[in-house]
Amino acid sequence: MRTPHTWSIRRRVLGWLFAGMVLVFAANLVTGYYNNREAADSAYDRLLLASASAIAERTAVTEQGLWVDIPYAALQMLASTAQDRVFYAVSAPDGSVITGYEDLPLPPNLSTQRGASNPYFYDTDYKGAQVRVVSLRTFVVGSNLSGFASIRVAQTRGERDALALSLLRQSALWTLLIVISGGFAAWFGISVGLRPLERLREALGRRSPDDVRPLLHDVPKEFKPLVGAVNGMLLRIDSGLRGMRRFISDASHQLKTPLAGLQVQIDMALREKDPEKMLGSLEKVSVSVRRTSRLAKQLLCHARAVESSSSLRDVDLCHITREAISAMTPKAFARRIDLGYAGAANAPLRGDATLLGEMIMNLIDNALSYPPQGARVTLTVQQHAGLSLTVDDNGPGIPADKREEVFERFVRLNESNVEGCGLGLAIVREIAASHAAQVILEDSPGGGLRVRIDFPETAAKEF
Amino acid sequence: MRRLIALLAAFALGSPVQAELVSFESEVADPQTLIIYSSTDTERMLHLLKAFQQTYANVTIEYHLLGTLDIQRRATAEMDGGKSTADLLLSSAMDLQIKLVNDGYAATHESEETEALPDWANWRNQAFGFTYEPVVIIYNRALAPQLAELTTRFDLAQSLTVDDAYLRNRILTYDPQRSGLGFLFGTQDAIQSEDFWYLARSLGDMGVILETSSAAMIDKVASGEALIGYNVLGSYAKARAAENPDLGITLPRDYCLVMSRIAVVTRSARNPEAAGLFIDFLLSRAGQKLIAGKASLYSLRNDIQGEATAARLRQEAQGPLIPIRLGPALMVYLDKLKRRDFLTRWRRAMTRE
Repeated sequence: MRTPHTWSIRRRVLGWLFAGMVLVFAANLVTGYYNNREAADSAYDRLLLASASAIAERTAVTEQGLWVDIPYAALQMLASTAQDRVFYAVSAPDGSVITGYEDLPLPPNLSTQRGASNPYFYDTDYKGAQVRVVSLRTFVVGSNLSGFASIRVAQTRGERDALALSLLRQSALWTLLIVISGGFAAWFGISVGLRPLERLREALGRRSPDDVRPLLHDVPKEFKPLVGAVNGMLLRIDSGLRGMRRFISDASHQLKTPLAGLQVQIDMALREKDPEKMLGSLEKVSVSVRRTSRLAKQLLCHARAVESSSSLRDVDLCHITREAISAMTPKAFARRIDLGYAGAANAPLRGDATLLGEMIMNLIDNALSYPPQGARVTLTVQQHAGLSLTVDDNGPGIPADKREEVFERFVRLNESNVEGCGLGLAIVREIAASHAAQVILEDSPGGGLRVRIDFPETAAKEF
Repeated sequence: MRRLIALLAAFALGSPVQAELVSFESEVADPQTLIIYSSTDTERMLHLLKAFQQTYANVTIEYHLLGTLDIQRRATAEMDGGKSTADLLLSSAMDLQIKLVNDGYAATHESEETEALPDWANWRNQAFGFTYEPVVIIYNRALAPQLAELTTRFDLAQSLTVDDAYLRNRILTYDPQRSGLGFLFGTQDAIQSEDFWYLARSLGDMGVILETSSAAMIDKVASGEALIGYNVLGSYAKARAAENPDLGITLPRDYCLVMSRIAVVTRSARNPEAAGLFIDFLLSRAGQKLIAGKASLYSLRNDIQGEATAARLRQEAQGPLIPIRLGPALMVYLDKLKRRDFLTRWRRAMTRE
C-alpha cells in the first residue's frame, strides 16, 4: 500500500479534479431537476393555455345565462403521447361551476387569481394524481350578466415529468462526458506539464560529481522554488568543497614544516657520537612527534567539525563538560593549575557529544597553555533562555583588537609557545557554528580571558 | 363437465334494461372469481368465455350483462362506496369508458398483447379496444335494391329530399337521446363534418324512426318494416346478413366510422390478474379468432383472416376507415352543456322547429 504522501502527481490532480467534477455533477443534477421541470412546464403550459383559450373563445352569455361549448380540439390537443388525464371546469362570475369537474381545486391563493397573473398556473393533487392546472379568467358580458368567467384546465403531470426526466438524462450524460474528457485532458496535460522536470532530471543526471554550477534552465514558475532550493544547496556544497580544499592545502603545508624539522632532528641525532647528546636529541624528537601528532589530531577534528552538522542528539552539556575536565585534570595537575567546574547540575541540549567534548577540551587546553603556573581555570555552564558555557582563566588575556585573529587557523599570538599549533579556537568556532552557537571572547572578571559560548534557545532542550 | 348456470335476475337500478347474470363455475377446489360487467350479449361472448375458462380452469367467471350507462353508474358507485365491484368492465360506450379511466377508476395493465395494440386503441394502458366494428348503412335489398347506390351521407341526404315518397317513415337511425352508442355515433359524425346536420335535418323531414339498438333496426329492415337504417353496428348486421340475404350492408364511401369495444380493469378489482389475463386472451390470436368467427364482432388484429376481420374490412371499404380514437377528446360530448346543446340541435333537426 502506498501512503497518500507518495501518490503520483497525476493521481493527486485527477483525484481533486474528480472530486470537483463530482460536486459540479451533483449540483448540475439538482439544479437540472428544477430547471428541466420548469422547462417542461413552460412547454406544456402553453398547450394547456391554448386549450383553456379555446374554451374561453366558446364561452358567452346567452339568455339562459353563461353558455360554453367545449371545443373538440380543446381536449384533443391535450391527448399527448404520455396519455395524461385531463380535467376542466368552467365557472360563472359568481363562482358557480357551470360545467366540467365541479371539485377541481381552485388556485391555492384567490388573491393571486384576482391579481395581474392571468393566466395563472399551479400544481395540485386531484383524483389521486399530481396535476398542473391553468386558470384563465375571461370577460363575458350580456344583457343580464357581466364579469369574469373562470376556465380551469388541468392535466396530470405524466408527460411533463417524462420530458423533465429525459432532459435531465441528457444533461447528466453531457456532464458525464465532460468529466471523462476532462479526466483525459488532465491525464495528458500532466504528462506535458511535467516535461520540464524530466529535462531537469536529465541535465542533473549528465553532470560530473564535482560540477556544482547552479541550474540555469528555464522552468515553469511552479518549479522555480525547487530549482532555487537546489541551486542554494549547490552553492553550499560549492563553498564547503572550497573550504575543504583550502583546509587540505593549509594542513599539508602545516604538516610539512614539523615533519621536515623532525627529519632534521633525527638526522642530527643519528650523526651524534656522544650517547648523552644523542639522548638529548631524541628527547627533542619525542617532543616534536608529540606536537606533530597533536597537530594531526586537531586537523582531523577540525575537518570533522567543518564537515558535520549531522548527528545531533539529546545530550547533557554539564556531563560532557565534567568528562572533559576529568580528561584534562592530569595536565592541569602537571602545570599546577587549578581546574574547576561551577554552575548547573544538568543542561539538556541537542548536540553531538563527541564534538562538544572535543570543543571543551580544546578550550581547556587553550586555557592551560597560556596562564602561568599556579593559575586558576574555571568552567561554568549556565542555563537561561538558551545555554552558555564559559571558560575563565587568569592568564594574560587577549587584547581586544586581536580577538578576531585568533580564530584564524594556525595563528599564534605568542610565538614562544611550543605546544599550541593555532588550531584550537578555529576548531572551537567550527564546532560551535555546527550547533548554531556563538563564540565570544571577553575579559574575565578576575583578569585574564573569558571564552563564552552561547547556545541559542532552540538548541537547548527540555528533557 | 363445467356447469353452465344461467341466472336471470332483475336488478332494481332504476334502469329499464333487465340485468342478466351468467356464471361459469370452475370445477377446481378454491377457484378464483372473475367478475365482468359487460354490455355485449352473453350469446356473443359465450364462446370467448368458455375458451378462456378452458385455458384457465381455476377461474370462475361471473358475467353480468348490463346497459352501458348502468356499467358506468354501478361501477363508480360501488368504487366510491368502497363496495366490491367488477374486476373487468367491457363496454361499447367508448366515451363512458374513457371518462372512467380519466377519473381514476381504472387499473393499469401492461403485457405483450397490449403493447401490440395500435395507439388509437390503447389509452394509458388502462383502456383497451378489442374489436374493430364498422358503423354502416343497412337496407332491404329485396324491397329497395336501388338503395345500394347511396354510398355517401350526402347521397343519402340528397335522395331523402328528392325521393321522399317511398322512404317516408321507413328509415331508421339511433336515438342519441336514449342510446349511448347512438349519441357516440352522432357526435362523431358531427365532429367529422357539418354535413351531418344536413343529413339530420333530411332524416327529420323524412320522419325518421328513432331506435335504441342496432338489433331492433336490423330486425325491422330485414323484415321489410323499414327500408334503410343509418349508423348501425356493422358487426351485428354482418352476422344477420349471413342468414338473411335480403339484408344489404353499405360501408359509407365518404368515411366509415369504426368503433371498438373497450375493456377496463377496475381500480379496486379483487382479481386484477384474472382480469388482465382475460384482456390478454381477448387480444391474443386465439381470442381474436373467436371474435372474428363465432362472436362476429370484427377482430382488431391484422393477422386474422376471415369475414369479420379488420383485414377484410380494409379490403371492402371504398373510403377511409376512421376508428374512434381512445383519448380525452371522447369526453367532450359528455360535457353536460355540450351534450345539452347537441341534443337540442338534434331535436330541432328532427322537428324542424
